[in-house]
Amino acid sequence: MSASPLVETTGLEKHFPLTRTATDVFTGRPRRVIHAVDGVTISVMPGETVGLIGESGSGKTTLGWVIARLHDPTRGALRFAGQDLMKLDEDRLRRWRQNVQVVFQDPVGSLDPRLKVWQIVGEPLRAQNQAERWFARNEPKRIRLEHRLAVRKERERLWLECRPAEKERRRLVTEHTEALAEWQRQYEEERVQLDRQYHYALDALRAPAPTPAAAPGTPGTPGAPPPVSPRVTVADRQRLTAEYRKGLAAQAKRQAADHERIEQRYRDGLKRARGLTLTPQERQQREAAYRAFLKKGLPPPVIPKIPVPPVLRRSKVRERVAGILPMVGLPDYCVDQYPHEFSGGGRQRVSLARALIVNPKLVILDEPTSALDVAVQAQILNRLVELQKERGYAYLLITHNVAAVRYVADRVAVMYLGRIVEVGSVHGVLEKPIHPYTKALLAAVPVADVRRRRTRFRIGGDVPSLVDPPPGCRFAARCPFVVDRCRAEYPPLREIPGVPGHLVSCHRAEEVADIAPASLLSTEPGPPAPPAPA
Amino acid sequence: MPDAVVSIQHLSIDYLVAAGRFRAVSDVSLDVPRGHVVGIVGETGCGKSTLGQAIPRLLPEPPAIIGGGKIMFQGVDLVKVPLWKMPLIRGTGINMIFQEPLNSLNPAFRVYDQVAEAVHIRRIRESGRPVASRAQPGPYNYGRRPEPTPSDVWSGKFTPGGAAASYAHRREVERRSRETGEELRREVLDYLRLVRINDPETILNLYPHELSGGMRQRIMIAMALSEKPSLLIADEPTSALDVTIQAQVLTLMKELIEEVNTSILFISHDLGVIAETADELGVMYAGRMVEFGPIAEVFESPRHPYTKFLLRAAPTRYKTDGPLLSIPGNVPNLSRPPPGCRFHPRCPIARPKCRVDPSPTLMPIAGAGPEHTSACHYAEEVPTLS
Repeated sequence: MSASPLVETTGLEKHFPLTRTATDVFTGRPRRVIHAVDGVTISVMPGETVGLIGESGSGKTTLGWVIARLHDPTRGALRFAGQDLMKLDEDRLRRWRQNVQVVFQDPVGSLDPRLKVWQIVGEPLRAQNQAERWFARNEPKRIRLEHRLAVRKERERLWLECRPAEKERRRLVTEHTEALAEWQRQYEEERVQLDRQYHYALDALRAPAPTPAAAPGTPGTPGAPPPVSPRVTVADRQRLTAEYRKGLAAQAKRQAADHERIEQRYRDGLKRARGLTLTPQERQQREAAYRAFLKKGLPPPVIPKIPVPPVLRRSKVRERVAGILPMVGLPDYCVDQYPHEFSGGGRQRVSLARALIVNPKLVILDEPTSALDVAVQAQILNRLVELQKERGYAYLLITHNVAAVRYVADRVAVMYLGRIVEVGSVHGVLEKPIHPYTKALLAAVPVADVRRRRTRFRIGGDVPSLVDPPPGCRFAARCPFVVDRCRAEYPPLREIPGVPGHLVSCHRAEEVADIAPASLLSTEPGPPAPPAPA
Repeated sequence: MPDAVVSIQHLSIDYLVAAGRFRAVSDVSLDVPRGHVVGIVGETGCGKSTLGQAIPRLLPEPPAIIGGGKIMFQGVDLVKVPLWKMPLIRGTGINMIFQEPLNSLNPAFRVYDQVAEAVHIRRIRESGRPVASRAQPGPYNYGRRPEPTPSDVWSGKFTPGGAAASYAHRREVERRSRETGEELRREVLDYLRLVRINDPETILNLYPHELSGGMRQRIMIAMALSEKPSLLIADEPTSALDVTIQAQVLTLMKELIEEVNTSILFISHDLGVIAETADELGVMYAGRMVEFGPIAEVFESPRHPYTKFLLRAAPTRYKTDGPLLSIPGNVPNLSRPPPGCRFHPRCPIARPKCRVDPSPTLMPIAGAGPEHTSACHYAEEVPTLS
């Protein structure tokens, strides 16, 4: 892509650990984790709208929150305009927040009923003012501190140059510490895997036999004999436990061997380091450089003169709020009203004004239209598009409303269970979807057209749980085109040849590309429905 | 209409609030023909849910007051039936599926108990035993029960939840219903299979919070269908569900309508959902029915400006195709509705006649089907409206 992205995430993950009960701790059952966002790579260009669609529980709201830094990501990189957001300290993060604003999901719950509109909408202004004041006061201090640290670091580096043995020793120590940490992490992970396998096997033994997997679209075979719960025999359990213990022992053995290997390498290194020396000439040169640095140091830092902005007065806040309200289509006398005096659309507008008042670069719109009727929804969507044209905001539109995404977005990302399954231009994804889930989603959207009545929907099942999801494609359990490979390995997002910029995470993308979404709805009556009970 | 399950005539419903009295539903007439699905659409606050809840008299009265009109159901005017007799009509006569499946299932009872209660009620009523309005010897009480005294509660004669009046009573009930229990269980399982629930034996023993939204809604549907009601009122049954689950539930409902011959009043603000299910469509605006007719006719050639605007506001285009069409102005305040036609302040074809009372009522339209009616003085001009 030509321009640099405004927001860029790489392999972003957000996990929420579940609480462990006392029984879990005693039986050694590993901690269970909700994988809300699981390796999402997405970017938003300046002035662009990216629509994020998916069902509830797909992690789209969590992703929005992580991008706004309201949640800290568990893993992965998050960059804003080329700057690493994870490295910002508190002051700079607060100052950064004016760049990204969120319009929250519930316009009723996100407006304080005891505050007037000017207080609600003016709150980000006050926060911004405070952040700017802190920044202006602390930035010179921070620059001076950074300079002092840089001087100290450089001095130490030059000093070490004169002592190669010490330098090598320090490198070895760092390397050794890292190797040990990696060793420990790896074996802990393996241990968790073993525990999990063991407990899942035990659970499977206790659970009743599952009903034979129903073909897609025919959930529940009426008249089938009820599943027989097998008896858990002591022998079964003993066999599993023995296997588990064997695994643990083998692991401990490998672990000890690995540890010995790491220690040996460290000892050898230290022995080698003791022998390192400099030639007299080199030594003289380096010591001279060190002494020269002690005398001269680094060039003094440029400390910018940042004027501390004055505290924002109430009258000023009211003025700014009254100025922004017409922009979202509210009369300016609303500044003294309370949220309950507005209708749903009005509240959504107040919420929007609150996000726009600090003039952000990116607005995260979390379900902006879910609580609204079609007519009001059309007004809000129109306003969003106009504002983008006037002020050049970038939007991340999080919604399950495909119609809204169609109208507002330039690009669309489809999320399913914490992962992005398809990204592409709005025309590409909505007109020629490739991933089976996208097809299902589009086919499921009811169309206000009586000539296109459907009779049956072929995607069965519910959205599975996000707790410790299985390997492989997350949609495999509901997909009508599933093959064995889908259950075993996760299909990475890849570009489809012939469609630049359209990424799909499906092993069978090429094969299913031409299947129309409408074919997931069949017009024939399907298998006979079970007879109505008498 | 000769064969209407429920026939609403000139129904008006008021709400008493601190600011005064406002008319949420005014002068609505509606027939639900047997075996048909009648859809009601309208914006938030247009009175469609009030109408739906008024039919089985589920509205809290007061603040709601039925200001006038009739609700004729099986030859009885429900407006005149005393509230304490209504439970005998609810269930097998008129049943309801609510919007929030979590809030409308009892969190303290297992799925089995809730579905079994519905089946049991239907069986008692089908058996023709006279149903008293007082406490019944049976697993479930659904009539009026004497209030427990504090000493009843203290001595354990009263158990909250309404399952039985006392433990002794409960034992008696269990003894009597042991032989019918197995039969009941089989029927409950049948209904759960009917709504396509996998592994119903397991689901029976779960509590509602352990199920997903789609499952809960299917349980609600199973409960509603197991009573085989003459009229089923579905108040936004799929609004809380995801689109793929919504599609499953709608598909299921359509299949079941054919199997269990019932009439449905389907209330929704989603035109897409209505287009999929309904046979007839009524459009409500500010407490009034502004258009009614066979769904194909209403969708293809709406004869009220509001319907026309509502259909056009649904976003079906891309940003590059130009802005979405929305309705100018706002929904009127119902405590001070505009005189004459309620839609005239926002209507492009409004004339002086529209501003004088009384409001136009549903009238047949020249040049449209015989069953298509519209509450617009100038209904013939609407098709030419751009």
